Amino acid sequence: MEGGRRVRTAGRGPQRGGLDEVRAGLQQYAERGVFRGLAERPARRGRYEFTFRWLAPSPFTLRYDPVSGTLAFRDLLPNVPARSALAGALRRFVRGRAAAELPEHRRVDPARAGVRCSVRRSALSLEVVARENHHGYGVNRAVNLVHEVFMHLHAYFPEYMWENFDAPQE
Amino acid sequence: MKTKTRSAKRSGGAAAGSRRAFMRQAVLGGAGATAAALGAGRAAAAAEEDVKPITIPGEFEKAAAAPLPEIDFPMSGAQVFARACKEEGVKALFCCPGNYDVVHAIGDVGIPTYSGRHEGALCHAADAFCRATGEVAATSGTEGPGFTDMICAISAANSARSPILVLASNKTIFAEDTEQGIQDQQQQPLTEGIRKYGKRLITPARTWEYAGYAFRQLKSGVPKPVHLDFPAEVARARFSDPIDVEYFYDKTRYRTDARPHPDPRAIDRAVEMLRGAERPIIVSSNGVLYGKAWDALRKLAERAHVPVVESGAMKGQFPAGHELSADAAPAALMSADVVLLVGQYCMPTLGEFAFGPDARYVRIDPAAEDIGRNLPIDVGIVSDERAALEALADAMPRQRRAAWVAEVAAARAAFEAENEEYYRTGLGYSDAVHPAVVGKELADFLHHGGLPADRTTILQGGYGIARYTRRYLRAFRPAQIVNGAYQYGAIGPDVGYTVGVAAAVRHGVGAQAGFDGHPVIGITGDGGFGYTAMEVETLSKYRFPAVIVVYNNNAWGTWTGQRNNTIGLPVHLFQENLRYDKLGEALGAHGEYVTRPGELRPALERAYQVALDESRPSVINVQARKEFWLRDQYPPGFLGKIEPGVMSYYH
Repeated sequence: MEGGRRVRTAGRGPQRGGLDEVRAGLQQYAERGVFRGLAERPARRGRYEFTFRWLAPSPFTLRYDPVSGTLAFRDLLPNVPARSALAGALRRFVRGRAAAELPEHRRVDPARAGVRCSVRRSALSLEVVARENHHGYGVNRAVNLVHEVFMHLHAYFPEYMWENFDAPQE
Repeated sequence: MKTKTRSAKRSGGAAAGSRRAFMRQAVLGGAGATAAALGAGRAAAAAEEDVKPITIPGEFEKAAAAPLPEIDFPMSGAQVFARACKEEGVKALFCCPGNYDVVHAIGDVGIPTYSGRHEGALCHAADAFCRATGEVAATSGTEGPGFTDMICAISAANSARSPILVLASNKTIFAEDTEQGIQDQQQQPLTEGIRKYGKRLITPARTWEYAGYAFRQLKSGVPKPVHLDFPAEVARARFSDPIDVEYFYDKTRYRTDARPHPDPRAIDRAVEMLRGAERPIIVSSNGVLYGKAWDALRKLAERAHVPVVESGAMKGQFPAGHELSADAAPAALMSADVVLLVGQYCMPTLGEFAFGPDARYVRIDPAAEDIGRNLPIDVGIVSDERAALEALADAMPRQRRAAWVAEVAAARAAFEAENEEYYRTGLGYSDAVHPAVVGKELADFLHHGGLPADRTTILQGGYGIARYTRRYLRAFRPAQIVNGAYQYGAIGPDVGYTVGVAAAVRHGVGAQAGFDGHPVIGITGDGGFGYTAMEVETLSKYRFPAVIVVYNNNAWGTWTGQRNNTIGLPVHLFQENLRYDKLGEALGAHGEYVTRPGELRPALERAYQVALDESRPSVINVQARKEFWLRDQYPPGFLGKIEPGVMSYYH
């Protein structure tokens, strides 16, 4: 293990086989230096929370529910009012990630995972729900989806990135 | 040494000859000095108004016609240093008055020397000259204020990794620390962190030796500024014989042109990764220009069928029209599974480039100590860029990646369709000129009109306007586009940069060979224009055929973020409808004022014709409105960007 990046486990065995896949999927990003640091801790109701630093100054938290296969980035994007143009654009973008016309390596395959976003108290959350035996695929798609959302924001909503993620204005 | 001096004089004479011939032609023209300076029609108009016309002093022609002095021992320290610059192939000097001994000694050896109105702007010019040519340029300012005026530009050149040689006079060693007279200052601490090497020369006999120190740094590895300051005891030292100058021998003895070649094991690992990749991509950046590696890059890309996307301080090392160009295909970047970075000196951190979290990285760089910084690598290749690309091209099997190349083509088409949509939307705003109209009309004129697409070198500056023009303008040959302020993000160097680009093109230096004398385009905003606008006079007095496009939206680009700040808003605003075209005219340029979309193309054509016919600059003042940045009122509003590719700016 290089760079002290081994995942700190919760001291409990995996609830389902999916946990190992999710854990391994995230750990390889940490080992490759994509994530800066990775920590794991148990959450309520048999869920797990993985925390890492990545595309923004503040850490990302991915909550994993081994039973439902849900991989959730809760409150991923702050200051997105539910009825705003930004929220609408992001909903359309996220829905479009499952479109058949996207190349296979870019889309979220509906046969293996579902994708949705929601806004609560002006914070947007993203969820990928992995179908049975596809939790490894789900975590890969969830991470890629967040990356795609951030790139979309950089491209089309730069002021949002200045104001919320300290992106340079120039 | 005598023989060398004569040889240098001959070669210098040849280099300066074209400048001289050009200046004679420009100053005298066919209708006398006044007509040549202003254009016959405008001269006549000036006469009618009984206003003295703007003229270029006769001293310019005399200087251009004067033979170079034969310089040999006894020589001054400045002359010894100038000889080193000549023998090392310094291609141009950009300065303001000051550091007289060194500046004039450099001019006397035939290195084209340009002076302007502000040391900072001329230092920017040197930076742009390096980026447009891939060669070394010098810049000079006087001690104290002249030098400190250059700091922003040195820092910008440092971020752009430009090999500028910063020279500045600096009082005397004897009076150091006394504050005798004026302008006392320690220079070297001020350039710490923004240079590759710096030295205050204090031992006259080591002048040549320290020139060697400077050129070793400028001509090897990753380029950056080198800063030397000259006390009077050094610049004015007298050497009666070569023996008085220690370490006085040919450059082949104090440095080498040998370059690091790649470790075969690293090449094998990179080949393995590329061969097994489904969707590999090459990121071509600064080092491909400085390593003159564009042919090797193309060979590798075509052999392995790998798309290429550009980043960096200049563009065009891979032609935009090539089927493998992914420069204008931002949506495809996130599909790449293996990314080969070559010559990417200014490294992004993760997430600044669009490549997805599953992408693996190979990086080619001459500096081992930089490989792995910011972006984790899978394979590092310590090498000169050309050597590594040639080795990879030789080792890679011929491959086809039809599906991947088709995906890139589809992304390119989608991007162009989006740009076309922005243009159509922009045309609908008819009471001022929308930035999409500026970008599209410029591209249509330069790339899709009667001009060869690769002819015109472009200084791609500005702030908000650049987020549009970058989407439309393309580079079809090395360094056809110089990428504005780049990572340092300075607002305002653009007219200074245009001076450097125009000088590079005039002499056909380095990557501009074959494009000698063609007009150049400089793009800037009204905020930026304010910083270096006086260099329009520099463009005019040297008869540079430059067309400056000023996007005038009456505000700093920062306006959008403060529009609801009632008290603070004036900080971000100018007077409205300012006539930058008239300012240009007052400085000797041709002026155009464009207030509606349909007026831009004819104005561009007229300005380009002035450049061709009179070798004179133009200022096209494009009247826009600041509200164009508001997405809810004027979609698409202020645009973001995806890097790398045509929208690249930070890295």
